[in-house]
Amino acid sequence: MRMFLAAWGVGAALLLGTANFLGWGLPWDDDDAYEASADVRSNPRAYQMQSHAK
Amino acid sequence: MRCPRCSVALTRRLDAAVVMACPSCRAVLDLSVTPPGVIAQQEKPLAHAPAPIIPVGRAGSVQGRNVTCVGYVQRRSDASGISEEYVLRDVNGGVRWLVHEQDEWCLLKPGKGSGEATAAGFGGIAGGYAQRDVLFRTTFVAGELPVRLAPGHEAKVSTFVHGDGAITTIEVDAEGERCFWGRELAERVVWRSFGMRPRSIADIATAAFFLLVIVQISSCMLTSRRPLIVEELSFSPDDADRARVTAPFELKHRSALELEVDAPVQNEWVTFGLALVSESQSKVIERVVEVEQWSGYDDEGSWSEGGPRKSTIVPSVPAGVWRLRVEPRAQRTSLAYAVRVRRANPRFGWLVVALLALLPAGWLAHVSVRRRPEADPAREPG
Repeated sequence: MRMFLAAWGVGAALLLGTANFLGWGLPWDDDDAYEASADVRSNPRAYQMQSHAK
Repeated sequence: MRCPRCSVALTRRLDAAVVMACPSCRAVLDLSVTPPGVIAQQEKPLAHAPAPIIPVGRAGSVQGRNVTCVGYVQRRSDASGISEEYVLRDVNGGVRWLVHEQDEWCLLKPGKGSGEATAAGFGGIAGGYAQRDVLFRTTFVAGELPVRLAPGHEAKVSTFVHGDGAITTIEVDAEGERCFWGRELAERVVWRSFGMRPRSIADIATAAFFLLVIVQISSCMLTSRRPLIVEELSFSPDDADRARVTAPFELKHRSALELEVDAPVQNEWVTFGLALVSESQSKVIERVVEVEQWSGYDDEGSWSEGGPRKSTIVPSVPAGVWRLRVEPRAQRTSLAYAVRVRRANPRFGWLVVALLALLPAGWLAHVSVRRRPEADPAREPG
C-alpha cells in the first residue's frame, strides 16, 4: 500500500510537472477556439469575432 | 569461541542461546555441545523476503526495558507467508520475541507452563476470539536463538488472540511444545523503540506533498515570465475600424498564455475582444476582457471599483507563430491602451488539482491499514 501511495504521489508530481510545462487548461477554463480561414491567417484584422457574433 | 566452519571469532550475547548463526559464513551452530557443531549451512535469506528491519546487535527500549536484538528468524508458511521473529535480550538476560507478520507486530514472552496455563491469564484458550494453526518452516536464522531453530525446521504454531490485543501462541515441533504470551504492538511503537523512523503512510503523503510543491516551485523558476510581446495601441474618432493586430510572436512550445490589457478608463467600461490568430494553423482562440473602473463619493466617503488592468488566461496554446487581434468596444471615441502577452504557466490551479488527486490514494491507504490496539504493558496474565 505504501508503494501504491508513493507511486500515486510520483504520478501526481509528473502530472503537475507536465501540466505546468505545457500549460494545460484547467477543467474550469473556457475553450473558445475556432477555425480560421486562410484569409484570416493572412489578414487577422479582417477576422470577425465569433463571441461578438453570438 | 570460533566458528568451526570459517574460524571467525564469535561473541555470545545470550546466555540461554542454544543456536548461533555465524555472521561470516552463515553456518548454523549447535551451542549445546562443545565445541559447537554445525547444524546447517545456509546461503542467504529468501530473495523475495524483506530484509530484517531490526539488525542483530541493535539496542533499543521496548516498553521501558532496555533490550538488544540478538537473533533473527525468518519462517515461511503457505498459509500466511513470511514471518520474521526478532530475539530481544533485556539487561537481566530475559528473552522477548518480537514477531512481525503480515504488517502486524507482537511482543511475546516465553510462558512458564503449558499453553493452557499461559492462556488462562487471558480467560483461557477457549476465550480466544481467533485461533489459527499454521505450519511454519524456518528459512533463515541470524544471531543467537534460545530455541533450536535452523533452516528446514518445521513447527506448528497455534495463535490465540484474546481481548485487548493479548496473544497466546503454542508452538509444537519434534522436540515438544513451547508457549508464548504477549500483546500486539503498533508498528510506530516498534520503530520508535529502536530509534528508527517508519515510512508510514503519513510520511509518504507528506513527502508527496512536498514533492508537488517542489515541482511547482521548480516550474515557476524555470518558466520565463518575460512578455512575449508588449504593444501600445490606440483608436481615435477617425478610425472606421478600431481593430488592431500586434506584431507576430513565436511560441516555442505548447504553453498557457496570459493576455493583459492596460487601459486608463475612469467611470466607464471598455470591452476588448481578443483573438489569438495562428499564422501556421487554422486556429483562432478568442477571449473577451472588460476593463472598467468606477469611483465616486457616497455617505460613507469615497469608493472605487475595478482597475485599469485586466487579464485572461488561454491554456494550452500550441507552439507556433501567433498574432493578437484586439477589438475594443467602448462608448468613448478615443483611447490609448497597452496589450501584453506572456506565458501563464505554471498555474496554481494545477497544484490544487494534483493535491486533490492525492486525497483518494491517501484515503485508500488509510482504510487499508487495519488499526491495531496499543500495547498495554500493565496487563499481564495471571
